[in-house]
Amino acid sequence: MKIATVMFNPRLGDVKTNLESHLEVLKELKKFCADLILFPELSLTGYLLENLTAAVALKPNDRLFSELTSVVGSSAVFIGCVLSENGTFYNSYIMVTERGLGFVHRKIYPPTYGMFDESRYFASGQKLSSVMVASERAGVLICEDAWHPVLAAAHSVAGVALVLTPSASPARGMEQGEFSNPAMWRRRLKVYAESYNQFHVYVNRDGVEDGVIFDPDAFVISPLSAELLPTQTGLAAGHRFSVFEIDLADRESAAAAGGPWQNDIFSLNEQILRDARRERESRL
Amino acid sequence: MNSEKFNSLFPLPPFEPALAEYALLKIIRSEITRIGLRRAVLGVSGGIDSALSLALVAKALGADNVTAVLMPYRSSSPASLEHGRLVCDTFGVRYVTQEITPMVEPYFISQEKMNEMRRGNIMARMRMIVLYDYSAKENALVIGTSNKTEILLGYSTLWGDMASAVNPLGDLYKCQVRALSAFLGVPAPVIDKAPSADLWEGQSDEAELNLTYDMADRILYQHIDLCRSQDWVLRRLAACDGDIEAAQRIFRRIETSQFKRNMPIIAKISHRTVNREFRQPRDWNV
Repeated sequence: MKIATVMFNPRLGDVKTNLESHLEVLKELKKFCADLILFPELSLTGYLLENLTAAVALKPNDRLFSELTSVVGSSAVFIGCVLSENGTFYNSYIMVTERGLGFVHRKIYPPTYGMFDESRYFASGQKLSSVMVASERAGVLICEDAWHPVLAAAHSVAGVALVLTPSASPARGMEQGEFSNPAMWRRRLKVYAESYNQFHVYVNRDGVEDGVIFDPDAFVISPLSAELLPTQTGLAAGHRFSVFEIDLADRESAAAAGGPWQNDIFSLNEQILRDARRERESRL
Repeated sequence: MNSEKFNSLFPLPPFEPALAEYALLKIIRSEITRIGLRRAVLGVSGGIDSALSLALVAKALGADNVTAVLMPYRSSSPASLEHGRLVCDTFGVRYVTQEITPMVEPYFISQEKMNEMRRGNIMARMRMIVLYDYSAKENALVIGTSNKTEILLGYSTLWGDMASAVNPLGDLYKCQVRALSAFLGVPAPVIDKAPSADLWEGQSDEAELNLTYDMADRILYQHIDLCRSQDWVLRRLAACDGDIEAAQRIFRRIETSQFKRNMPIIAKISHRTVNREFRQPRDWNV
């Protein structure tokens, strides 16, 4: 399976310009014949939207999606945008194929602490679902979603083989010559890949907004816990991209070697969570 | 105080100069060019903070796109002017000298018994006026020179040296300013001299604050960056016979200078007040 990741640098609040850039990027990436092309979180709008959220929101039937549909070819293209549904806004990741808008993940945990203020503008997605792409089951965890291990576990229960994590992760902190972000994201997603026999694909955006820097990054962790190197890197319409080729047989090898997911007792996990919640509530 | 124990209980914040340089250049470049400009202007005092801002902005935009303004007052130390020229020459930046004495002196004369703080504030604000005029004259953004230590301690003049369009140093403690300055080749005499706002003869930051920057940085890092409570800091200080009163002075300074770090209060009477409900990013559609 071939996956292209685009470390896109959006123009804040300018959907029209960003759409044009997405179309340009997709045209340039066509030659790689990728099964999946991933853009980062909120790639159509930029991240620090605040009150611009309503102005950049799209309805699921927006004409813009048909423009994308016409250029995606045989790839499944994942794009970050704000969806407006019943007067509510969601930080969303949508899949567009030649058949149209195919799948939506609404961010379940919009962070509202530290430098983040997302719940002020976004509602929480209420459902974790998955989609078949190139004969594999894929699921999404948008940025902060991946900080809640129960969601990675839920994807595992649903049989998701490929977890996509688009992010707009502001660079901060310093560790051994790098910002804290790259090592932190790798640590986190490696644990999930190992625990649940999943491929994890991460793509962070590029650019600067209001003095906040986003450091472009993209990587894939195989269930064998190895980070895969890109087979191609470069610039598409001025935006950095990396292409990865993943060997789905890694999951079979991991299964043959054995791993903790094989001992998961779903009903027991549910019961333990229920009991823990009861215990917590009894103390309140 | 047991200095060795203090230093181990209160380590300096981690810092990677090459990474900081990469980030700050990217931010300066982006925040200036995205609004269609390519030039910057900043005041160069001969001190380390403005020298570092100059080094960064010259690298980010190209030295030809930067104007440094030297703004001495008649009592300014001659060494300050000399160091200001030295850093401009080091980074190949064109400078102009705009003496502020004839601008501020008539006001000083009109006032009886002005203390040093009032005079210092007027000089800092006069320099701001000159810089913002150059900003309009040269279609250039004003680059700030206030570091995180002085912003947190409130050791700066509101609407004076705190005024800028982009401040590349605002998230760097003084120790990090020193490290990055050395990394970028700021001349040694500028790095090594005792920090001074040079608003009056013989002024010294550390004497006026009654603190060393080293101590302030170590305590601020724990309290601000690692969210350690005041009690936690005081308990740890006690464990190394540290200067409890100095820490209390730091906490007091942070509290009493909060107004300098906020926009002015807008009295709210409508449903939608600027910056309360009406919250827009600065980089809106740019």
